[in-house]
Amino acid sequence: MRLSILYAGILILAGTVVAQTPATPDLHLRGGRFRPLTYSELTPEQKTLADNVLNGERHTLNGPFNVLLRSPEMGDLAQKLGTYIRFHTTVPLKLNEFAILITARALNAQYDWSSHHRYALKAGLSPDIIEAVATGKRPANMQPDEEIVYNFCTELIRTTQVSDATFHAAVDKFGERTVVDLISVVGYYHFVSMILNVDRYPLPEGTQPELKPLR
Amino acid sequence: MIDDLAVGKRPSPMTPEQEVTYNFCNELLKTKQVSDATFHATVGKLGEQKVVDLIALMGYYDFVSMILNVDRYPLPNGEKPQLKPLH
Repeated sequence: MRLSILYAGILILAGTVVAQTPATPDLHLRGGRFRPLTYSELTPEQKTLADNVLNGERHTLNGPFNVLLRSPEMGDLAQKLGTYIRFHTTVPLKLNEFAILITARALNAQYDWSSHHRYALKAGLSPDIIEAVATGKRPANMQPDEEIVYNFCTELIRTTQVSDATFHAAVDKFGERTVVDLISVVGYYHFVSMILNVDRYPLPEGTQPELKPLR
Repeated sequence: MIDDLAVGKRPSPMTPEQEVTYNFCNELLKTKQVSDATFHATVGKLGEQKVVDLIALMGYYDFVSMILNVDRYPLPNGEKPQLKPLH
């Protein structure tokens, strides 16, 4: 009896280990111009990148990873930066998603827009603010912290500079570390949007692009 | 060639590698997209890995330039800015 319980325990444990790291997991990779890769054709270096992402905080290779796998050493460095920016940044979640949407809109990045539209709503950003960003308008009725993030990101993207008034408002409100994290989220999503635009990464089946051309 | 880039002109002459690199980066920066002709010419010439590294380079220097612009990072003592505004 005791032996059979032990045996069952070993079986369950073995099953769990297999479930976590199957020999050839289905990566569910998608691509436009870059052909979706499968696990069995990956080099050891590419497998490390795929495993690091799947066992990390994202649990999915959706987005830029089918492209990043083409350059696995760089791709692994990029996914580490992305993990910080998505999950460990000092920018409050709602404002981080706001900055991502402002960046995705500027780059016409349809996939980034659609996925982060959902995350932004979940993080508590108002639908009216999101709609204004989608149509290239300055949102009305922003909270003070939202307004500072909007001014900072919009000036930086449009003029490649930030005015004294906007810089000091951002540093006073958030501190230097969070301002640097804010530049990082804009920079990282600029990079991700460029990858997805070059790839013409397809939207999930049945979804329509949400961003219309501005002007 | 560097002088042409500094004043926003298309450099001439360029080697075939320089030309695909110029077209790829320039289209991506100006239009956020890359045309089929330019994409296939670049992958044909450089291969997929180098194309992805090229996008990474642009993304990284975009980020670094934003940091230095936000900071208004000073030039070394005695140096004058070399880039004039384009319009």
